[in-house]
Amino acid sequence: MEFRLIHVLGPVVATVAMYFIGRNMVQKEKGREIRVAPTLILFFSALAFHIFFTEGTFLDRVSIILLDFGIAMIIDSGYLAYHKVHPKVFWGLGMILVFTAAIMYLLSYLFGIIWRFDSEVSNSRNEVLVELGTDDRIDEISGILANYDATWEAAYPMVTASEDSDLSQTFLISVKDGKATDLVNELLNDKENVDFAEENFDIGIEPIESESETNSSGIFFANDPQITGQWWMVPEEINAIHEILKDLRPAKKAKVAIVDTGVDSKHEDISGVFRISPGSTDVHGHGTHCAGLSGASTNNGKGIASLNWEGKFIEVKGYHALDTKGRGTTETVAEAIIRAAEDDADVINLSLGGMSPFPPRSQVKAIEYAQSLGCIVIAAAGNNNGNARNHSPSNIEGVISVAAVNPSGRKAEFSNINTGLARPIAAPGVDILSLKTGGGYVRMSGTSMATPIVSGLVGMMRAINPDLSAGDAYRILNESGKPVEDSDKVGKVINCLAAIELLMESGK
Amino acid sequence: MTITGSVVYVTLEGGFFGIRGDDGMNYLPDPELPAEFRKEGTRIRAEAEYSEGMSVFMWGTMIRISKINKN
Repeated sequence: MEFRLIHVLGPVVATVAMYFIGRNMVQKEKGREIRVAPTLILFFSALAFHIFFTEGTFLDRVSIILLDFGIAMIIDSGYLAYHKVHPKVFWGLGMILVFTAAIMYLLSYLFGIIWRFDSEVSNSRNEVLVELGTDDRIDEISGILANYDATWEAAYPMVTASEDSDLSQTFLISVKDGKATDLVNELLNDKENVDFAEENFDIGIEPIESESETNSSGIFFANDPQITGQWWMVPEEINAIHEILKDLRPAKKAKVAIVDTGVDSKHEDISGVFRISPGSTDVHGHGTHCAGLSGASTNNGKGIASLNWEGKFIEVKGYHALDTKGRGTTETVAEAIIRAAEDDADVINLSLGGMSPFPPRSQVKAIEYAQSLGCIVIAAAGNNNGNARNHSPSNIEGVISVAAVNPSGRKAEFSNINTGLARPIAAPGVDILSLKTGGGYVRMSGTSMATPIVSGLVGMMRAINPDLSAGDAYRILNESGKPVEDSDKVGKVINCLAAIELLMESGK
Repeated sequence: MTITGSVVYVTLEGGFFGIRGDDGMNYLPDPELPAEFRKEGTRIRAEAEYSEGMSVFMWGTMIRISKINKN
């Protein structure tokens, strides 16, 4: 818990207030004049002080008030005992308050979210996103905006009309408190100019805020504050890996190419390891999430951890294969693969695909070309709870196909299986924390998340042994992998520590 | 082909809208559904053809919709 002044001032103010009540009791017992008004003012001031300056849920606040006043009564019972004026009243009441506070704190812990004040759960940012028609201009709704004293800006200034006609026509409107809903309703009535309007809520993919500037859990060796939210990083395993890597000098920095929606190269947790490449921006966010899992800077005191200890082992590059809506064609994907291969990628991460029992020729050729240049191609198995044999590019020869498992080590319910494929493997793919484009951190689920975890491991292996072939890499992943209940369907689950140890033992 | 079904919001890969067809199949519109149909539970009827596109969502069969109505 973060230290705040209220933690000291709260009990002090309560003790002073209760002291004056106790003093009145003593004065009354001795037949002297008592001062009710100043005492009540002091008491209610102390109460108001707590209400305004304590934080947390409703129950949090009530329990803190009870705790502070309970402690105050116990302390002040000493004063009453000195004057022999009913000390048991203060002592007994104080104990009851402290006990009640403890119960309420427990309840708050269990049900804290639903007890929050409305003002705290309101996630409206007093912003409205409005999408205008293709031929409409923002000044055509200026009359409505003026009524709300609203200001506006392009929501996606980097997107041109030729790139995406919807996003280029989307504007972010800022309004005063409480006006966003009314503005949305009025905009939706303007069917001539407005295609769509909605409040810009902080929902869906919530940014995860750092608990502290550095990871002070004492559990992890790396100091990245968000590592405690990365369930798939088992402390004993990841600490052992990081202990090995901190003293290891790689033979080279492996290049991991994220062929996706691009990568937000300015994100605090990837900027240090990102290398110049065509996809250095990411409107959608999917590629940035994948990039963090493959190679986020680790032990840098920021964000999440990966296997890329202090950025020594992996360089991340980004390639736009898909548009700002996360979609593309077999050709755009093939072109990006070729470009990545010609940029000397060691590993090409393909967290993308489509249903296709017979892989598109352009993609087969692109991947064969990349493999001929020594690239190890790793692709997601797909999210349709079907078979990755019917999903491309995971079904292309030589590609390592990655299915997703949940925290229990079972196949994720959405994941395709890898039955019948030559290089099946599985990795964590549910509720995976990584980078959010534009800054911050977010959880996502999908075989897309499992894939860059494998790509990061294989990139690490390539950094240690640059001669590692795709066949060798898969053999090590498979031999070191953990057999799980669904391994007959998805393959073994990667074991990063065992894989690195096997690589170092075998020299391959 | 004609598809009838319901719009669903799938939380995978950051979230997207798809169509769960009455035929039991999942369909992923390419490009994405028009804004007025992006509401979970909306019943739709669409004229569409298969798309050979690729996506980060890797869910269902990608389709290119030529005509869509609320059903």
